[in-house]
Amino acid sequence: MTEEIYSLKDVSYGYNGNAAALSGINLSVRNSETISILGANGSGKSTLLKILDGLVYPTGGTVSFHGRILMPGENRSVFREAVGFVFHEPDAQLFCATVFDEIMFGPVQLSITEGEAKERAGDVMNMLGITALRDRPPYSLSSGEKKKVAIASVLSVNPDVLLLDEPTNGLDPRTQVWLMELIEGLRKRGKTCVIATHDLSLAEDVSDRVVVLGENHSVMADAATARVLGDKELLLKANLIHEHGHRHGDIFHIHSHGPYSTHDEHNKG
Amino acid sequence: MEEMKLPEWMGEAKAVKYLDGIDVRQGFMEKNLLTLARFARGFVFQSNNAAGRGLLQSVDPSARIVGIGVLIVACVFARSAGEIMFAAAISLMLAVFSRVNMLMLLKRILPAFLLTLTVFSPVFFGFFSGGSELMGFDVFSARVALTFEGVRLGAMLVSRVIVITSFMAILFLSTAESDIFKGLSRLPVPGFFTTALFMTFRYLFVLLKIVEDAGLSRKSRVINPAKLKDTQGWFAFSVGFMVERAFRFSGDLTSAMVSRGFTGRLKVSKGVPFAIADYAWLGFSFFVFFIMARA
Repeated sequence: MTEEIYSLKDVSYGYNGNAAALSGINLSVRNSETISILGANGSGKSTLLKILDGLVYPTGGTVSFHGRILMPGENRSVFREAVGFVFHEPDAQLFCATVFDEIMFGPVQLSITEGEAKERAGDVMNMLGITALRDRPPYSLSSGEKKKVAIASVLSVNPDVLLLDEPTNGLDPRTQVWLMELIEGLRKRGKTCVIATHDLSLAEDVSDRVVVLGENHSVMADAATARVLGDKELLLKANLIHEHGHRHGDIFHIHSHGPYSTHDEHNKG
Repeated sequence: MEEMKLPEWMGEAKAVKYLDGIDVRQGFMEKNLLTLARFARGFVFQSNNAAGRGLLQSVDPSARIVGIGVLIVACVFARSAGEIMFAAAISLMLAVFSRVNMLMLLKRILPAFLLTLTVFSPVFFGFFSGGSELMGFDVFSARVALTFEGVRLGAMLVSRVIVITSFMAILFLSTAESDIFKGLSRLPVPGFFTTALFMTFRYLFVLLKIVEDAGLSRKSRVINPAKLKDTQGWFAFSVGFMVERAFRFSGDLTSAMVSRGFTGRLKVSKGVPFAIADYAWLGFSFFVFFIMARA
């Protein structure tokens, strides 16, 4: 069995003492796994990723990284080198003057030598096809370009664990395919990816395992991808798919939209 | 699945009022808020001559900033009209050789000129500066007169401000905003200052866009201009909303920086060492400074 990277035991989190954003989360993430965290809006997916990145700390329970509990007030560069977080909102993540500076930011903060940092930045820009954007200010880029630069700015640090928050949100179909291919490439390189999303097709295509957060902010399911995505009742309950009816002439269909759409009933209207 | 029931009034056809040909008077918001947001975005982010190949563009941004700074300080030390004219000639020469768009330069100098002239207009008059009268008139029992010394003093003050403003404008018009911050970060300027300045600049763009969109979305639901009091109330609410939004942004931004290794002290990559052209430019700036600052 591969090494356990993260161990969350009974983790809870509430914003400013208000209602819980996460409740009693038990989760294990192993080396080289690709896990999708599925959940409807407000279920706590982003909060969970922030906890995994040590940006916020649980109000209850513990989070361990390679066996060591993450504590507030510590900001270990070793941890920061090992874990990278691509935010949901690129505008919050892109704060440097040019794309090149953005990609250099992480390595420079982690005291990687300038020569190596520049080499990494060049390689990452080549890999993601954004070399032409090198001297552009990030705020002038399109959504897809911003997302690529945001990802590049994290990859330049060469993290072992990649946390992605709604990575396909707002992307056109071609860029979504590009992203899936990138995640697949990272998987093959042994990277561990944790992806927060409500895009079931992304989860189906790239994940080894799926964790479903319910609207009660706790884990509803944690199992292999096919098993979770094949459980229609679970997906309906978690507000990840919906059901609707439509007519074909005098035939009325009810079916759900999701990775395993089925026509459940045929009625004469 | 059940069809959603809509209220009756949604099914009523409306008589659409076409406003073609009717001159709709602009309200407070249309005149001020949207114009201000667009102007600020255009003024701050206007494409400049930074990409051009000119004198200043061939100098390292750090050297550029230091050189212009030295010239500005030199203007402060100018004691005569001749020295200010000398500085003005240097400014004009820099603008020409750096291929700065003169119209854009004038647009940036004009507000400074008008503001300075307005604020310091009393200097031109005898009741402030004294001296021999040039021309004047009586107001009730008081004499209001332009004096030779007043005009000389006022002209020097206004022209000094114009020349300093022109140097600043030439710097910003010949330097990409990214290079300004990069240049500052490589100088012995406190890192916090540069970081805070850049973040303010960076997110000003985002917030201005939000302001503009909020204004447009309101405008899209209004046919006639709203009453001034209503619009002012909405404007005040929007300012509060912007402050809240700015706080949230700053929280996300801090998280993003920490996530990539920021520990509170910003580290910057070392720049390329100065070339001969950079030293020549700095030498020229300091030479002008020593001429103007001589005792």
